[in-house]
Amino acid sequence: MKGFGRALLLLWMLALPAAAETVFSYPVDENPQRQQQLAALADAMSATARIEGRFTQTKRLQILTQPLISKGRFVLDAEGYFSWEIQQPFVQAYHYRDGELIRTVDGVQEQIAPADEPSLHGFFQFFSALLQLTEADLDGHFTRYFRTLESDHWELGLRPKDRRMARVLEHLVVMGQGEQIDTVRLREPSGDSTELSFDYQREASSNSGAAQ
Amino acid sequence: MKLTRRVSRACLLLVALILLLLVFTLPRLQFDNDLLALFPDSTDFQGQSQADQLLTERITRQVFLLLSADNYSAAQDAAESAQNTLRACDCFASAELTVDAEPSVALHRHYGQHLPLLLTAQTRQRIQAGESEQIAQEALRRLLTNPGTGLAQQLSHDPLGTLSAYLRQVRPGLQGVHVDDRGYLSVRVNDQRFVLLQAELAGSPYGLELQSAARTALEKALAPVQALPGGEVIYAGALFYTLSGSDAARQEVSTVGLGSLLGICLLLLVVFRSPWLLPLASLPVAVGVGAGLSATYWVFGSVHVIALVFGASLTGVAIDYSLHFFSRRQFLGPKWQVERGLASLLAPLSLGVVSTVAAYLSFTLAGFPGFSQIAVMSATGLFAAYATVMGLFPILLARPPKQSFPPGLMRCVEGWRRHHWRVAFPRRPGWVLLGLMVLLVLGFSQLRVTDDIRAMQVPDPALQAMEDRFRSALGERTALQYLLVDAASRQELLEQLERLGHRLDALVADEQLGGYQSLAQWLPSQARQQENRQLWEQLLDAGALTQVLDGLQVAAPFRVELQERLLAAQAPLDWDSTWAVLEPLPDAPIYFTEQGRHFSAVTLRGLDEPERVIEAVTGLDSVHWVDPVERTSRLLADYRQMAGILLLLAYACIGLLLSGRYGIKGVLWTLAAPATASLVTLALLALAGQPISVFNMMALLLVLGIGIDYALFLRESRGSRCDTLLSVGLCMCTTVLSFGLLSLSSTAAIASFGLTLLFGIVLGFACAPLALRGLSGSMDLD
Repeated sequence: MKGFGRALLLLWMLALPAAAETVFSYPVDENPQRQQQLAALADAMSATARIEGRFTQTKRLQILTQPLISKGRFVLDAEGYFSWEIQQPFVQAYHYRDGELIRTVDGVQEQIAPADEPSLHGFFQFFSALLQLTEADLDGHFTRYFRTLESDHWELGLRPKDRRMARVLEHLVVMGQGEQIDTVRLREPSGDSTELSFDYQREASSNSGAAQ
Repeated sequence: MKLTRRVSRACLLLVALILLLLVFTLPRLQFDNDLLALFPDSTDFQGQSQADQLLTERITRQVFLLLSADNYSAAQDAAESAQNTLRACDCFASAELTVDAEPSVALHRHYGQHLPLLLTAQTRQRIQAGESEQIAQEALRRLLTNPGTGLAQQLSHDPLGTLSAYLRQVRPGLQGVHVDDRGYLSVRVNDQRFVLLQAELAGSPYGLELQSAARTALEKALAPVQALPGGEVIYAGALFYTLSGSDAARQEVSTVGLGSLLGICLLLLVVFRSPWLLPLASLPVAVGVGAGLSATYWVFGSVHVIALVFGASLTGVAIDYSLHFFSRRQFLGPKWQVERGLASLLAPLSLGVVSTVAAYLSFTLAGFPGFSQIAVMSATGLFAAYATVMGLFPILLARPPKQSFPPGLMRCVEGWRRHHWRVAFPRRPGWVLLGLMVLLVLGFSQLRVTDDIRAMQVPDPALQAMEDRFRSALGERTALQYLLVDAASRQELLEQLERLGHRLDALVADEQLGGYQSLAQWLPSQARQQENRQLWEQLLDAGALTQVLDGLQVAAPFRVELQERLLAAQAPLDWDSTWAVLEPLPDAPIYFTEQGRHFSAVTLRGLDEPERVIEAVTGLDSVHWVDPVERTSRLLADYRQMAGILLLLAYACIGLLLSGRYGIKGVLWTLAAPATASLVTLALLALAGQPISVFNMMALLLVLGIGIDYALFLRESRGSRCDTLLSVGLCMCTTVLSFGLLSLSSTAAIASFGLTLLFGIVLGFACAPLALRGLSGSMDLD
């Protein structure tokens, strides 16, 4: 009985990611309808002048006993200025624009060259494209999968085309509703994963509060 | 007469041989235009020459282009197209919009295997100062706040952030360079975005063939960018200075050449009234230049552009030979008999060419490769021109002329003939001498010398401004000066470099030096690796790793594995495997061996006060401070002094040649003409505020070579023949037209050369009658 229970648990664990990744059964390249749907969504998101909100990043690593959670705020404006301010567990901010990345720690600003921390540059370059769903950028680096769900929900799956990128990133799943991204899940080949969830409502209200 | 006939026939045969040689040589000619190639390869110690060459190749072959437009995406498209155009040209070895990550990844992987052995000076200091907790806290913050993926790898490969700090120190990267949405390198200048296109030339930017191909490729590549709305290109690199130098030289040659040609044509037309004589006057010069080029090519393997310009100008003096011939012929008019005429010219022309060739050949003693080329080219050229006049002109101008000189001109010459001896025999010699002495004393008291090559070759200000703009966007430039370290073994070399690095680190900390690059930063010595290992253990013993692992709540199996791995005994970072990873990097440190010794150059950035570095490295064994500019200036000073000695030697040489014919007194008075002209020229230059350099001294050698001709012709004609006076006057005018215009050059060295010649030649003409003193008996050959 004990062995049967363990087998069931294993099956459930195997089935869990599969259920979350069903978007990978919907490739965009072979389907004109999906291409149109994704293009329309990308147009609508690109037209958004400014995106801002709060994020929660949860990292689940096999080597860690507990997930690592960090929280903060982000802003992406029409000019491409991208601000990523971590408030927990440490205060640290990144400001990115046109490939220029500045890190602020304890009020001290440090410009980070791409050669120094390429993965950090890669993250901001990718996320500034992703948050506005800039199709050209995404299509250049990823094979895309897309499906629409109920209540204006949708899912976008991305698999790296480049072998070097595939060594560090197995796939991404972006989940959203309407013209907003709710969650981004990144899965590494090792099985480690990172989930970023975005909350736009609270940010808007805090801003309006500040304005008043 | 027999002698004249024999000489003429021998000359004719020589001209035929020269023409044959020309047909064979001209298609093979190769030109070189590196200004420094004018100077001998003179180094102070072993290894310097190779270090210079390696650094020069690395620095001078780089071409940087910043491309921008109102629409950045359009600039990116144009940059892609420009990259393809440059790649299509054999003149470029590479053209890149992105950075090749492979060599960097290989370096990272290699270093990752030796983590405990690689610590920066700052990390070492912090561990020694007991800041282990702070190091761990910073690492924890970095790991916890880094967005994105790859945390497990970071924790596994660099849990305390020491390796990233090490890599940052080794490869600081280009300041201000970003990566854009297409992965291209991008730079912001005054809030404007530019795409950075980095190219490397396939050869030296001083090669004319490569310059020409690169110019065409660049024009084709950059035109579409400039045509875009708001299109702008900023470029930097040695290539653009050499292109600008070649452009300026080409423009000057065409302007000066055209002005000189027009002036000379007009003069000859007015005096000889025959257009047929114009091409004939240039014939000896053309044959001379051709022969000079061929001889230079066969002796040196290539012809330096400066040698071509100066050598051709010096050979241009050969037009004088034609003028002497024409003047004699026209003066005799219907009485012209070619053999008699030629006989009367044989002595002064032969003496003139022998003494001038001797003076020019004395340049080779200076030891400057460029000047040796000028000497060989001009000496051969003059001799070939002499052969043309003596061999071909008697055939081409055998018949008497149809025209005579303009009567007005002859009246002027006659007037000059009656009075010119006053120069040699003034009414009040005491006053003249006093005036001359006052002028010389005044002038020489103001005399200044300069040997600074930067003052002699001022770069195009527009190009300099563009380069400054480029540098301001991309940070401190690598200084031309560097430190060369040598040792008997590799390990000893690394240890020497570490001792040097210790002193340089102090200067960097005091902000007296921007930074430096040393092989020891990339590969610590075995001794330093052991010290690092001990410090690493000290860091771990202080609980830094445990602090990070606890902060992240790392699971037990991985924690144990990591701790064991980082404390396990490790093979040292060895030379061969590390150098194999370093060598492909574009910014690899300079290392080489020569005659069994090991050398490495330490390059410097942000070097505002070189004397601080010199002071700091004093007392370190086998560390040499190398300043290529200062070294060149020192060379120029040495050779300026040597040119002065050579000048005296040339006077002695000519004096010796003439003494058999003129006697001591006659020789002294003949040499007095160019000598007085040279001294007064120096005084005038000094009074005009012109500093004296090696180029002025070389010009004075020419003043001697040309001035002696004037004196010889006057002496041989006893100062009484109008045709000689006329031809010497014409020679002076044509020489001033050829050389005087050089004083308008934008290159300070050439302008100074031209100005010295302008003064020297006019004064040499004015002083030529001094040669008439001490004349006795007849000196006609026939």
